[in-house]
Amino acid sequence: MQSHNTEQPLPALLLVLVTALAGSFIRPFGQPVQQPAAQGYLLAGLVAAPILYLVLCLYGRASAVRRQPGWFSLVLAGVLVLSAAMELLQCQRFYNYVLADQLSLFWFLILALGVAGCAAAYSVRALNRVSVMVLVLLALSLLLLLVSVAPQVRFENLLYPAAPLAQAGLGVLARTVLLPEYLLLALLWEKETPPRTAFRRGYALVLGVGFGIESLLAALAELVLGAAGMQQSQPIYTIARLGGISVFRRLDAVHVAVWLLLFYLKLSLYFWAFLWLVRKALPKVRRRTAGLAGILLILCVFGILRGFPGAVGAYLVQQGLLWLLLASAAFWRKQR
Amino acid sequence: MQKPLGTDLRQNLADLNEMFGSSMDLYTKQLCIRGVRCAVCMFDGLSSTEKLWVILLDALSRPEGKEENGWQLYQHILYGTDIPAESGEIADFEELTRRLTAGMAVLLLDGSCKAIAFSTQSMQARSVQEPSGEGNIRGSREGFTDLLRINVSLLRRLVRRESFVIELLRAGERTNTEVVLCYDKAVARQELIDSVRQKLQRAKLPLLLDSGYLAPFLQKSGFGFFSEVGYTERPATACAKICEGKLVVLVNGSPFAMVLPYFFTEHFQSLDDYASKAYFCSFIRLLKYLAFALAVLLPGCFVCAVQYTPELLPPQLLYKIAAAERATPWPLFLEMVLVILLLEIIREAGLRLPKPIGHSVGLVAALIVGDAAVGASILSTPVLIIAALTSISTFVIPSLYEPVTVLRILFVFAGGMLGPAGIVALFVVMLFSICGMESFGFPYTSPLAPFGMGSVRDGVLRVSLKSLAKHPFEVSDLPGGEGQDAEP
Repeated sequence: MQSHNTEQPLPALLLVLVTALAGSFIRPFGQPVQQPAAQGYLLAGLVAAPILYLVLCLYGRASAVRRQPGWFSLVLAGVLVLSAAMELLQCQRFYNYVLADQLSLFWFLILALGVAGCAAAYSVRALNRVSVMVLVLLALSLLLLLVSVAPQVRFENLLYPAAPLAQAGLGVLARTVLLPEYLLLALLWEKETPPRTAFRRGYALVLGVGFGIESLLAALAELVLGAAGMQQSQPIYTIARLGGISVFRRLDAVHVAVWLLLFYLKLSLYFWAFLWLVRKALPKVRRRTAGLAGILLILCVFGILRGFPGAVGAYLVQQGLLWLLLASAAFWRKQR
Repeated sequence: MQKPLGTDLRQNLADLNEMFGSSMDLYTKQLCIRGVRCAVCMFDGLSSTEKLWVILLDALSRPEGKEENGWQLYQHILYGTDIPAESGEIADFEELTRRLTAGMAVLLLDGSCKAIAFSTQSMQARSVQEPSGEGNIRGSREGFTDLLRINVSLLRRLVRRESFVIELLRAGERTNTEVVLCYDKAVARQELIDSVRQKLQRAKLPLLLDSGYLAPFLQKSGFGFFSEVGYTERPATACAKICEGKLVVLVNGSPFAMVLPYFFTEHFQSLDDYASKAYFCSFIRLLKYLAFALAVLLPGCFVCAVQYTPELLPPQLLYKIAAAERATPWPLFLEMVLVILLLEIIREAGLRLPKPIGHSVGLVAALIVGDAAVGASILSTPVLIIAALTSISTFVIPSLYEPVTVLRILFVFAGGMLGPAGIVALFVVMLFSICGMESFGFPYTSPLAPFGMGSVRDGVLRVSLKSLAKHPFEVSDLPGGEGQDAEP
């Protein structure tokens, strides 16, 4: 039975928003650019966010009026496999860092891929509804973080000189990160549902909220940790560890649980989108076959990436491919 | 194929006796009315001969005229007298059986291939009482009873609109049970009505003794922790649901009305909510959500926190827990599972036994488990406290008892064996299960997700009745529905 009204023209809007925020909390280990100061972070974001918005709006418009070729879907599916493996590696390292190797790699992979496999059985609307709940939990966790670290906030910690020009430039580069979910947002747009400019508001919301949260977290890290925050591989976790309320002296486990939730949701979106794109490009492939192939591919890429401690190469490959895919939108054929 | 009634009374009676195997409760009496040979048939205990006498025999025994044959008498009773005979005709044995088992008396006439039914029902039934579940402080005290006709009349008395429709259907191959579909055609969506009617008609089940039997035939196939349909024992609640554009299914012999579509938020609402102040109602609803979270997550999170992230607990509490745990022989998560299972066994025993013995079981179990087991250091006090808190929280939302109980045990295993990653993974799967459900085309989590103002107006919170009355809620107001991209 079809419903008489739809939820929204962008069925994955909140999902993309929530998953895009995951990187703000769990930072990649050995990331290419050192953490800039909050001031630099803010300025870099102010330059990077409009650039991203402009480029993504052009891409969104192209995806609305032009037809994506089959190879685009397949390459994007490949990028999703790479991104899922990167996320797995990042989260596994973070989990071991936080909980001192309490869960073996085998069980970690079983859990993460099990959740992703489970998500594949549902619609993107279901995942989007889950993201509403996760967003509420994230907001509560953020509020708890703010309240718990409030006594340790020192405004004099902000009085650091701004970053040199070269570092600021690198900061802008680091903030101009394309995420696979940005590309998915426009692809999942319901073309039957007006208005056709819905993706503009969608991208504005995703980038705006992302920029706001990242800036807030960077400022908070600096307010609490000062210059030491720039040296931390996981600055948000560090401040979460310092926060406490009343007899509860450590609340970091609560925050880590919410961040894990973000990770699972992100992985679920990547796996779901992988299956969707593969079946879109190759309709004859069975769902189970595609799912099994997806899991094997993720495990293979994960195994390869594990051999490289920094994972900078994978990051550069991912970004390169995503920018190429974005640029390819200019050459798509128009729909009849 | 339906066997038609014949014109020979003796043959008809013989066929009837053969059909029912000379059942002792089948009452047949041959008599002569206005010169025509007739027979009255009814089931003893379902129908009353006194009523029949008052309606039929008294009027016909007066010798005012004489019919030549049974057909003329049939016409005379139906159209020439003021005897309140049932209007539908009985021309075959299937219809005859249906009327007799519904408690009617049927008059068979010699020379007529049609029989006449009279409403002389006199069934012994439980009276309309306050339901044992769904307790409320204010509002109506009436509850549905077992007889369908009484239940229908209770609803009709509350929904006094011409658009209120009650459709009669039948289900259960061996029981031939009456099922009614109730809705307000002015507010219920036609697609929904058609879909539910079709599913009810297609439901092939050997016997139907409760409305719950129909649920699997109405829901989508596949595993799910939660149900797309809800139940109520109160006509007032059913009436409110009908006025919102929902459908209510009643089954003869069951005091539980099935409501569909049913949403997750409705488990946290009650009839009292609308009779109390908005702020208090909102507070109570928030408490219920908290109780749900406690009921599902508390034991698992407790085990996980103690085993994997003890820094989360205040030091004083942690010392006490550690001391208590050191005294018991079990690992913490196994102890928690044991206590939960034990509590479930006690609950089940108390539920199935006669009430006086049930209370004793509870008392003995509480003494043995609560005192002796702790005294002998077989179980620890913190675990018992957590399990008891969880059980009490479950009783706040009784309609979610089944999924909550199973999920609670799964969370204990996840937390005990896999730590925070396991708890969070299971939590995500639970969210997928809840958010992925569609209740008859509407998202099960409406109006929470996709978020609609309905969740603030009358969902997690409730605004004042004045504001609610300005825009009465209807199911079709809810955002969302089945997407075209249902599966990759």
